[in-house]
Amino acid sequence: MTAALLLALAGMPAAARESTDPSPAPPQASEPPAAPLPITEPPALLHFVEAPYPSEAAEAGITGTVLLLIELDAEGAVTGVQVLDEPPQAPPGGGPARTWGFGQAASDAARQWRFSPARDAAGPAAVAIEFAYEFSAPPAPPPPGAADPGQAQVQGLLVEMGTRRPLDGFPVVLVDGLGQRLELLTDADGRFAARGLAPGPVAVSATYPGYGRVEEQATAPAVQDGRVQGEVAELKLWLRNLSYRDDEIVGVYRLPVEDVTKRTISTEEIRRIPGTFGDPVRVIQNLPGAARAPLGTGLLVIRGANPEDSAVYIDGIRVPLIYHLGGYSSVINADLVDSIDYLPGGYGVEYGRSMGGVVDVKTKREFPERHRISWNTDILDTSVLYEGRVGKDDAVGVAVAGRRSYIDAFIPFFTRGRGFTIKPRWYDYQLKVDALKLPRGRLSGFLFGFEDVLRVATPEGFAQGTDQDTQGDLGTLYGTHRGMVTWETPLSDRLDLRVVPSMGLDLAQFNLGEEFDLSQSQWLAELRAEVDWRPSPAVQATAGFDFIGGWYKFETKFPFDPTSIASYDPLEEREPFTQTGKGWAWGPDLYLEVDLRPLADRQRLLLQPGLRLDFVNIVDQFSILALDPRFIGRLEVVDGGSLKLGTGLYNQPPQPFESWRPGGGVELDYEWAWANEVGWEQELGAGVEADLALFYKVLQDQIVSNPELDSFDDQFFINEGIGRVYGLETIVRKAPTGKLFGWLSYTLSRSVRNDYPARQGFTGTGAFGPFEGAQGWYRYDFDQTHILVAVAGYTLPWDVQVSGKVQYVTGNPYTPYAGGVYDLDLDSYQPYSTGTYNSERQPPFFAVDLRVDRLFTFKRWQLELYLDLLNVLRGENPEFVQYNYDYTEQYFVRGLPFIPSPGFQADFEF
Amino acid sequence: MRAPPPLLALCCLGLTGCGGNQLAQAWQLDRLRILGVRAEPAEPRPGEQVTFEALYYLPDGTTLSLATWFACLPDAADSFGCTVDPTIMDELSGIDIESLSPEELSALYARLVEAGLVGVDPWFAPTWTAPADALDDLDEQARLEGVSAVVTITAIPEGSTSDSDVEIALKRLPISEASTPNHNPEVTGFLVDERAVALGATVEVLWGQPLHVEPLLSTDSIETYLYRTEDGTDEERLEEPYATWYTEAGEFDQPYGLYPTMDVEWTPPAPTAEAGFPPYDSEQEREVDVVVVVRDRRGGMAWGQLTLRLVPATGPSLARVAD
Repeated sequence: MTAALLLALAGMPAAARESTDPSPAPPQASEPPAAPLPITEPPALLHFVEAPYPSEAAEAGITGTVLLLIELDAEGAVTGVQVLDEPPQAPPGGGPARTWGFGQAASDAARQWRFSPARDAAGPAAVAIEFAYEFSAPPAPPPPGAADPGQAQVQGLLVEMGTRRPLDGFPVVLVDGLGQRLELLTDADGRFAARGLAPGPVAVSATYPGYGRVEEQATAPAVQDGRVQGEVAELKLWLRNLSYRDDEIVGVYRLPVEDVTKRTISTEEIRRIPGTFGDPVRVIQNLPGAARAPLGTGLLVIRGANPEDSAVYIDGIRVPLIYHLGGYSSVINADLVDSIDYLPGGYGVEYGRSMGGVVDVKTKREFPERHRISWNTDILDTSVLYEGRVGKDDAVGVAVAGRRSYIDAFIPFFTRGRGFTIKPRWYDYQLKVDALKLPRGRLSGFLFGFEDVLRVATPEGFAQGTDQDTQGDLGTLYGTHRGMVTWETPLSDRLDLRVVPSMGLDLAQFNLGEEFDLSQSQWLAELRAEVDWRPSPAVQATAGFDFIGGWYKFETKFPFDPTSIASYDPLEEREPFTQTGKGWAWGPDLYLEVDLRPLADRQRLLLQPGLRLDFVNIVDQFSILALDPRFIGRLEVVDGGSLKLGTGLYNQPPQPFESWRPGGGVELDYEWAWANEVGWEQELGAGVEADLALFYKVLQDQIVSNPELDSFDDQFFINEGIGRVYGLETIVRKAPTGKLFGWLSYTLSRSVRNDYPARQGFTGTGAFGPFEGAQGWYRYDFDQTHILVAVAGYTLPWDVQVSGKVQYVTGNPYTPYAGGVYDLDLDSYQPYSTGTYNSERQPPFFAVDLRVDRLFTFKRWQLELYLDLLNVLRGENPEFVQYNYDYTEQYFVRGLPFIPSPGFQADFEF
Repeated sequence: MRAPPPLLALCCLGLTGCGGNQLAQAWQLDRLRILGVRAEPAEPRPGEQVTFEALYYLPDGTTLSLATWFACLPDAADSFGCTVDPTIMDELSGIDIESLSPEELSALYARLVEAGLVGVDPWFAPTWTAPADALDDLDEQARLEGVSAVVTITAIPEGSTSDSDVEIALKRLPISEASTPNHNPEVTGFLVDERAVALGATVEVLWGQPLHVEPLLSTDSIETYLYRTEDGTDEERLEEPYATWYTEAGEFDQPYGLYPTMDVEWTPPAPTAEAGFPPYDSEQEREVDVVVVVRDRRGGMAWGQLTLRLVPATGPSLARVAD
């Protein structure tokens, strides 16, 4: 009764709609003045609960239509329902017009629905949509003895080429030998059946706007007494979509986000950006605030922060690494990634234990109605993904993916003759299961993991340097395995609960020859629990518990006492050294955040104070406590233009390797940053928006090595460093709402450090090298003053897309050396500098990348071929400084040369 | 969807970098170098006198102007060698040595000796007496291990015009009361393609013909010695020397050789300008010095030199010792 209506609102083809086709109603004048944003994908109804027909209305034979305003969050959950219109009607026997309970019944039902997330150019978006819910009288049962309409003579199935998706509501035209023309609409399964045709040849054709035309011949059997004489003609028609990539713009409203700067990139854009190799996570390096990583690796340097100061999450659970070896691919299948939230700073209290940026990779919550297999093979690895729905009524969504590399088989051909062989190897896996038809809430499970191994083998008799203890093969292994469950449920109209428990194991190993061996493992349990409370439309409070804890163990083996490095003497006799450690560590953080929308127009002003309580206890080592007060504000000043600001403290506990010393008693505290940001966002119409942000961050109590370390009795690290990061970021972005998409991003920044501000003039040497205390402030290693990135893509006919990227980045700082003193016992030169640390800069980086791809559609599958052209201008971009043996000559190691990189992906649906 | 990452990029990560570079290699002899320093005795006791000898490499046409030697105990040294009293260095910077009288020169020399100067090549052979109190602050076990004094050598070529012409090196000198003090190893000759060749001999080699060369050590070069571990156990250990190779032309398959396989393969320079170090005309004879420096990892050092005469590829196919 109402399904067609709802499906129509969710974007089904117009021909599928019955005569009662209800299009979304235009926004009312009294609606909040939230500006319409282009929505590339409207929400689709995934779980429908029919409203009970009000008994009084049924008895009176009253029908009616109710107009609802339904608010959906970015995950498609219904967060509010409002009856906009419920016309009163008079009873059939006469009397005053009145309502009949349709509004209440419809709104009660709508609160139980679940939708797929709406998407705009930035990814999943919170929207408000209008629904016209129709109550019509149930169809009367067929009268006894009704005539049999007869058997079909010609029947068939209309499917889309490539995807094999049944086409619902498409017209099929049959013309028999007498010239009689019959037009039918396919049903929800894409099927059609024709009767009443003259026996003999029949031309069957189908076409539709946006599709090609297909025509087949059939032979209609004769019919006698309503029964077909002979075989029913059975057809399968394949209709080609003229463009599988055209995005549909639908007018829906987007609700504001609650972070100062949160940039969400849809996977559709990512796939088209040259130089990212189609990997979603790598796209972050093209956004404002992100420094260019050397040699195209995936190092995350966000707003001048150390890589380890930025946090990476998968579905809200923190993971230690997001990239495989070399940083060329992330550890999660690209087709499983739904969107990526990139928060360079100014984020709320739900994210903690980090001073830098946050990257939150969100996996898909939707599963195709048909089974889909995607197979991707290239010269590095092969990955396979299956996704679909299984179980009774397709109630369970499943996605399984795996990847295994084989680059280790090829690299030896390239390193032959160099005396050693590099063998990288990696795998990853993911299994996601989602209960799709729960009456309320959401339940899903996600299991994922990866393991990377790198071996560098030297041939027999090859001298790997002169040290007797560094001979032999080198090997590293690291891996992560996680299992998590997400449970979301409304506790009442005003209270929602979200619980995400997870368990996992992290592994790391390193060995060099027989003498160096390090291994580390930790079992981790994490729990994130959040309660959202909405006491009024003006207030929403979120209380959260963010726990991480577990058991760690490590073992190190060296051929010498590592503390002797402080006074290293190559002539000293060595004794093997081993150190083991194990114990418990835990950190139960609490946070509270309140969204205040004090103005009558709730969307105009958002005030969001938050407080996070940080605590970490490494048993027998240290316990520390800190508070993170944060505040975020956003005010829509003009139509489509918002002022945003944020300020707050961001405390970060010591890194694992800083958190242990023999006998315990680590004397470290949190490193912390005071981050401030003010900015302006402006929608410019037609899918174009601009964003400008100024930021200033003060770094305090940064952990640096102890320059006075002389033995295990001393503290290894101290909280003495300070730093400053400041600058501006801007981006002008055209969303992929038509044939053109792209952005222009610019970052102007400065990131400096002072490791020992209280020890100026101190000239000692520590275990970690010559002390730079006299220098004071110095440029951070990845301080890049100007970062300019322009990205653009255009869709051509015949499923051809072209895109390009231009990148200009200031060169990284480096320390100049003018020569060295030859240490005859070490047989190597100790360099001396003519300047201070990082006082020089490499030449700037400039590169142009291009990409072209073409989608081919066959009956049962699709094939995408693409070609990435990296560094087409053949710029000799410097990446590192390399010196000769005595530091009297220098050379800039060039970046990637011109590289044509082809690839393909095949998709099958069944 | 993911395109294959550029393979070359991965190679770059594992190797030294993308694109070739023309940086000088440590084994290339083309400028003033201090290749080795040997102390005799190699591990003196406190109060014992030590003489030093250096192996300099000077390209043809270059002579050594002077080389200063400073010695000090470790507490007067940093990672660049002995730290000389800066006031003395300030005084030196304003002095015109040519204008000094013999008495003034003698006084200056005395000041420098006080600051740690122990010799000036080629005029005053470097000699130093290990301080008698060098181990006084150590306990019995630590005195067996001893301390490493430091010697800093600064070599200046004739006609030097910039700091980059100057070669500075540092060498440690163990001073101990070890029961088995170290001795320098001794290079007695070479094996060239498995044929014994005396030190300083000249070997004829065809252009384009690679050679296997290996240093020959005296029988007592590889010593067995006692080491007292931290828990007080005396442990017998065997030296593990290694060889560092240098050449004026051509190249090695690897610049090091670790005991017991200290041999390397030397390839003559390529006859064209595009490759090799440095290129030569293969139609002409040319002599190339190959040097090996052997370290015993305990401070002992030895070296040897071999001259290779490159001849056009019309002679015998095997290397032979020149008459």
